[in-house]
Amino acid sequence: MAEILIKSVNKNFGDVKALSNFNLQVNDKEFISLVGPSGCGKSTTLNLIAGLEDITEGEIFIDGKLINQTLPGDRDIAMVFQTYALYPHKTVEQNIGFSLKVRGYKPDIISKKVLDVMNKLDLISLLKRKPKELSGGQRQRVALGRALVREPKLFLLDEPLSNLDSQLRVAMRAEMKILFDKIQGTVIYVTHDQSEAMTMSDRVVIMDKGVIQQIGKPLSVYNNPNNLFVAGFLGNPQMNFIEIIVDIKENNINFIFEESSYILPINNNLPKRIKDNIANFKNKMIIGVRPEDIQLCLKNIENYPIKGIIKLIEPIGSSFYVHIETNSKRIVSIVDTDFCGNIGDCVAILFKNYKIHLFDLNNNKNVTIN
Amino acid sequence: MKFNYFQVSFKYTFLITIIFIFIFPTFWLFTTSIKFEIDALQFPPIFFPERITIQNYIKVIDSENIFNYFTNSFSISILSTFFGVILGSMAAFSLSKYYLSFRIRQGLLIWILIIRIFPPIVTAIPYFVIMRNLKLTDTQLGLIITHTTFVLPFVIWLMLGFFQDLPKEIDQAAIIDGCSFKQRFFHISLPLTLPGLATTSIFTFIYSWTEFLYASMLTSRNAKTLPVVIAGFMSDKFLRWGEMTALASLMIVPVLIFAFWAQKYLISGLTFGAVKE
Repeated sequence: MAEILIKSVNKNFGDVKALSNFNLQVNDKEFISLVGPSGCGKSTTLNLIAGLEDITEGEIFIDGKLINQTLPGDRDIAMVFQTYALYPHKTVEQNIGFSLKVRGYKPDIISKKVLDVMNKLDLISLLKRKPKELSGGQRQRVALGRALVREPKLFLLDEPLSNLDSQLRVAMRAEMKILFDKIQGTVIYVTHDQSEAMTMSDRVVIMDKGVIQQIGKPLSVYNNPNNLFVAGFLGNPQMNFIEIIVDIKENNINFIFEESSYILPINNNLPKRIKDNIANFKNKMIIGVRPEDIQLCLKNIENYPIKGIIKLIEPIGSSFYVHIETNSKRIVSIVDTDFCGNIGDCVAILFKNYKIHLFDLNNNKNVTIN
Repeated sequence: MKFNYFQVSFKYTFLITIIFIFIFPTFWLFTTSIKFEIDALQFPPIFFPERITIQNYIKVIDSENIFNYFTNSFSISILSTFFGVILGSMAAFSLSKYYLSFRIRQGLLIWILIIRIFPPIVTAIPYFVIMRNLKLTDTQLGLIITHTTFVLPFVIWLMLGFFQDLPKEIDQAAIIDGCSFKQRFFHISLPLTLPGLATTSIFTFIYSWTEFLYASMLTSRNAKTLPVVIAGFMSDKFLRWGEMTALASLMIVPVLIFAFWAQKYLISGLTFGAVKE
């Protein structure tokens, strides 16, 4: 397996900057995900590593060897495409064994390796079928088999699950994770699905407009987003953002909303990340709270500073998504299924103080992380 | 839905007219070939002859060197088709890959097309001189080179569309699998453009099989092709309609056989299953 180093890579398509100053180190046997909205440059990054696109500026190393000028076929990588890209005129067996044939392996070695991979992926019954005779899930397995058979240094997976239905996607997600854990492969995985990135990866790279926004372990990034984009991108439903005025008193921080003021006592319960950064607080900021960090109270609501009217309750089985309208903003909260509020009810909104984030209005940076 | 008699009758009239326009020349050719000479020259013409003869066919088949001329036509057409389609497909594959800048690509494509824009007669005399100096007049090779050259623009433009329609991920997968440019062409792209190859081959074969101008100019005896032989039935002294139409009718047969053979490759959806649509 391999270590990948991407150093100050830029990629332009004419006047359009697809990738700006991209720096990333992927460790040996690491499963790393590039995640971001469409057009953020994640597939371009993969194509640059694969050699399918030329690098405008910068360097890419695999195991310390500069590969900018190396042909894609000589980089010892395998790629699984979003559209599978199987050879339609070849059988499953020929599709999987083709790369070995091109590399001049002997037929008996090819058939042994192909059978091995087909057994691993439970494809043995489909040996002689052509891609058009396979279901979406089966085609996806064949595409995976084609990558696995060569035992490459690096696997590049470009949204391989995005064309499957949601149930199959979840099942394949788990299967793929188990498979890559077993073979100890170095994997760069591109997805726009945050749940795939969070569940499968050792680390995630969040990208937007060709720029890396944050790199880190999935939960660490989720709990400590660098900026407004990362905070909003990770999490479903997304984090609630409310513009506030911050008034710092001796023992309290007052967050003044349009209609009321929410007091955050500066005491030992206040997390260090907030306490240490009070000096960076500005007058106008954005407060960010995840839906699961908002509690709703139906009784004695007059004792609480922030209130709202329930506009919508979405039951999703394990919990409810409750949409509450305050004077200035719509807030979403995730509550247990024993919540007994109804649409039109007035509720008090409580934040888990240790979970709140404050973002600078000018540069969108999270000022409550170290 | 209301049945509209006017619309339906208009549609049928239109279709029958179109079919008639396409069928009639072949019908007239064939019936003339089986008419006695006196019936063939009748006015008003006899559309459905009451008496028929195969004498014209016998005369044509018995005529001197006819087998050689047929062999010439057949080998020249087959080889021109083969070289034209292979070379044209290679050029089209390269031009479909965006290795060249947009301007250079477009420039090349238009330049290739220009060969087909002017009438072939324009280059006839200089071309003849070149071929004579190369000692290629009245040779099969000379005519194969000529026909291959003339079909290339058509093949390139037609095959370009087929190559551009292939999902680019299939080509990228082949690159990652370690295929060379040649392997990508022969192992992946060419088998996937079989319908295009079949269509192009049929048209190229027909072009070479029926080409008259350059064949008459560049051949005299050894490499003479059937269209030139047909023209020989017409002179200032005689006009042998019967033999002319009999040979022309026979000339249709190989084209039909070739077209029926190539037709099985004219199937759509060859890339179905390659990529998720």
